[in-house]
Amino acid sequence: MSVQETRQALPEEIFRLLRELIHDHYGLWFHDDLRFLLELRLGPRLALLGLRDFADYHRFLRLDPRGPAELLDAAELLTTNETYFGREPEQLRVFEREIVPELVRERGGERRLRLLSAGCATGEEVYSVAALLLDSGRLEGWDLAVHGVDLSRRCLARARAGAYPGQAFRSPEGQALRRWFHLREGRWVAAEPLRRLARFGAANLLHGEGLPVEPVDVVFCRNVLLYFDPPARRQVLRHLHARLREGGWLLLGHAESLLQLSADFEAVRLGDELVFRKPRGAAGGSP
Amino acid sequence: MNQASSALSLARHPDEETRYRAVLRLDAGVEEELDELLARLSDPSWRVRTAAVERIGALAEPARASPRLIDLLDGAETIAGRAAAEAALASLGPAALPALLIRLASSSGERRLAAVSAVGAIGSRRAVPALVACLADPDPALRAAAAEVLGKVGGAEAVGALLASLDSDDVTLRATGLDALGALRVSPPAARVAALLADPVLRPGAYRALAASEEPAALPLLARGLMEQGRTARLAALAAVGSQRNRRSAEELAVLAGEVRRLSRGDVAVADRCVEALGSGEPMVAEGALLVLGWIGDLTHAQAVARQAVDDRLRPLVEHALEALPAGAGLVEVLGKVLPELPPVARVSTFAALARAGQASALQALQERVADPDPQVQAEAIAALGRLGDPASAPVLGGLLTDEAPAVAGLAADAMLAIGLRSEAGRRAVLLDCRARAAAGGSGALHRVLGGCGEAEDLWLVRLGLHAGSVQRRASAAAALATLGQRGLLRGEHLPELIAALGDEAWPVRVAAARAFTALAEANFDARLGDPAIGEHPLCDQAMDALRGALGDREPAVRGAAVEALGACGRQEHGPAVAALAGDNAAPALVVVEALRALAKLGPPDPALLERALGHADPEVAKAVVAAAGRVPGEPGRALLRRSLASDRWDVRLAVATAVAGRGDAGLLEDTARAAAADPDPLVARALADAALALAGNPGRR
Repeated sequence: MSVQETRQALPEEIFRLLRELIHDHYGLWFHDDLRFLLELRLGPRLALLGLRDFADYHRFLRLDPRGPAELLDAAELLTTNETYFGREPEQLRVFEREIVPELVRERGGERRLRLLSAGCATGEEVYSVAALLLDSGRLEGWDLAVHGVDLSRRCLARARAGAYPGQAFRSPEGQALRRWFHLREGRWVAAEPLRRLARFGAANLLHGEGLPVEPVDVVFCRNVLLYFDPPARRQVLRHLHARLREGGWLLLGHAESLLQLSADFEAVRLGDELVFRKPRGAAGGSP
Repeated sequence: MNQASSALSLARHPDEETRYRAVLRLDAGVEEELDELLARLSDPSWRVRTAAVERIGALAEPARASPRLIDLLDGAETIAGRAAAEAALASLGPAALPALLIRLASSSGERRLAAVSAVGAIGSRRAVPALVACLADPDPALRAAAAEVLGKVGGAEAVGALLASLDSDDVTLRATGLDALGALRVSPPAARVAALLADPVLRPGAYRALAASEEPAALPLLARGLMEQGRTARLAALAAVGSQRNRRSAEELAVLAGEVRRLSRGDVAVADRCVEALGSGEPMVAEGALLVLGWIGDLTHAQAVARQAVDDRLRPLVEHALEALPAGAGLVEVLGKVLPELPPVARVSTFAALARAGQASALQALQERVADPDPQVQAEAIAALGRLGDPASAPVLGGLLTDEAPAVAGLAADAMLAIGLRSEAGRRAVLLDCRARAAAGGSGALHRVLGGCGEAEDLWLVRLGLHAGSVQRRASAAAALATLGQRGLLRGEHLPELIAALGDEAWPVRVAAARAFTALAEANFDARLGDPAIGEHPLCDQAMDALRGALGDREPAVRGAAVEALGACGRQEHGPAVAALAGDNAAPALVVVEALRALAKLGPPDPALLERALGHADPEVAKAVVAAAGRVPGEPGRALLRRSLASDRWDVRLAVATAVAGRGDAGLLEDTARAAAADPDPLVARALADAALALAGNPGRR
């Protein structure tokens, strides 16, 4: 029996209904070409729920009392992707060399920094940033926290466990970070100093639910906006803008830009990297 | 200085942040401030320009700004200023169209071009006739721009004009027309595309157009596309093959696979080019390339295929491609070399391929990974063992059926069912394991496996589950009974435990019990005219009484499941009770939808009741009404369908297309054809057009 034979077909109209439902709740947008992804990842849910086809699945999500919980599971299944330590290292270098020193200057009075990894997946970015802060040698005695938020409870459970296979450190930058991890039963487990900084929680970026209440100094939102359509991206950015301290930094993925999305941030070139900053005196976003 | 004059003066301040904040305070409704906002559209800062666009978009009377914005489309000094004017026009929406359409008749080619672009940004169908006229403009750039905009706006008239543009002498127009049709997901007839393929310039667009084709004749053209020397055309053909995978049946794809194999035998470079395409970064291209490599089945490329399993989206396709390769020592050797360089999740896919090739240690590696601490690796390993279907994996997977994580137990149940349904030896191994575990306590996942591949002798084990302490186990036992019923293993059985489950304190158990009765009724439907007293009726009298009682359950999901079961019995006597639920617009959509579907099984529904149900707020109810209306004879049924054609929900209109096609009522031909021409949604327009063709006695396209 092959994969092809066992697969439930997802008709175009049901794909559109599912995608609209997921979009309405989480802002995630699946382009037409990703129909196969929904078919492959959500297909096994039909048997699990005792449903005949994807039309029944859509009705279940829409009408059944268990629909909202299943919708969250579906969104998780569709957005979980393998990641690794030291991804897009140039930005992390800019963070380490340019942004951290400036934060030390600006926040030296209060000696307190809050950072946010929005869409933290399985936590690699949170631990990487925590390691960079500790490695900087300038923040001893400071009150530090790196918040990681994600929609996926499954990913958050893995992030909290903080245990990774050796392959997660396959990039050169990742290998350098490995000294903050201990090998235990074949897996690399985050050391206690990293764990003290890392805080994880569930959040819906579209609605701003679950984001840290206290203002943050830096937001990492890398390769996350690409899951949203433009109106949803704007909404996500408004929530992130509201959470950022004035003068706070926003780091997006290389493939992402604020062009046409938000004029509430200033673009700042640091080395070869383009990062964004909430202007001083800007209490909220544009009306 | 008052606030407005302060904002006006600060809008020209040298500091960008100050200008930005000032612009946000300007009111486009005040003439002087509108002047400043229009001037700020050419500001050097994109933040300030964006803010000006936003403020102009808030204007209550768009006509005050649109003529001046249109002047800026080609009059602004900078390109950024022109783009901002276009964005501002788009934010004003269709109200800006009349002035733009006048501009389309300008004698200046540059002005006409700017106007076409702005019309595209607004995206209104009212502009289609003017845009179609532009396809004959003397300026080739304008013709192409108009075709591109028609591809954004859509509609039957736009599609007709774009199809006609494929016969133009202007190659740019033909290429843009193809792309525009592709954007609308409309595929021209394959014979027409075949002619366009003669021109190398048009090939990429032609292959993209074939991606949405449903004609058998499109497949050989795509196979030939894989032989293209030009990379862009070749990648377009591969992406179209990837798209076709989602559209075609296994039989149709087998025809394409055969053609690909035949061509690749004559040109070994076909496979090499597919390997090269795997690195294109385009998911659809990679999907097509993996599919083709699987069809070609050449071991030389197995490593390149296995490496793609790193990408989560492509992993299932990688498994499929590896599965298609000839199993044996050669495959084991090739994949064994690539294994060390793969991350853990991707390694699972390769182990699966190696196990299929007969490597016992790979099967063992997979069996060990079902206990992996990484949930993703664990899930992939469980699923892989299910796909492999080896009876030897049953005890390993059986141990997970009682896992405390429901997702793990559920995946293990899926895998056990896959093994059990694969072969008689597999079924025996699975049942042997499950019976032993069920006797020792059981679980919800275990019940599911027993329901799916158990025998009549397993009935008592499942019935025992209805007395379990856990809600989940009671519900899954009821669901397992339903599955046994669907498999014809229960005929006219009296199941007092199931009837009692309809009164269970936990609503999920009550829902599962009602659904089990639906399955039993459907499986025994042919006995409905028999004597209930001797068990010939689908359900016994006590079950009927319990289901009628469940119609008043406090939990909507139970009411919905109970009404579905009564509908499945097909007895007219339940009609009034079902109709009462169907016509209750205050009831939850779940209940009303199930009641409408049940009513449809009891005969043609009452049009007045359906009319009332159309007033329900939920679109799922509207779709159920449409499905039922398709069965209402004569004018009352037509009236309901016509009314639903005006729904602002595309899915409701699509349901009308399905109902009309199924009804085969020529009295709806004119309405359907008219709606097809006017519908803004390409999918609905196509479905309505197909329905109209079917009504006209010309089946034509599917």
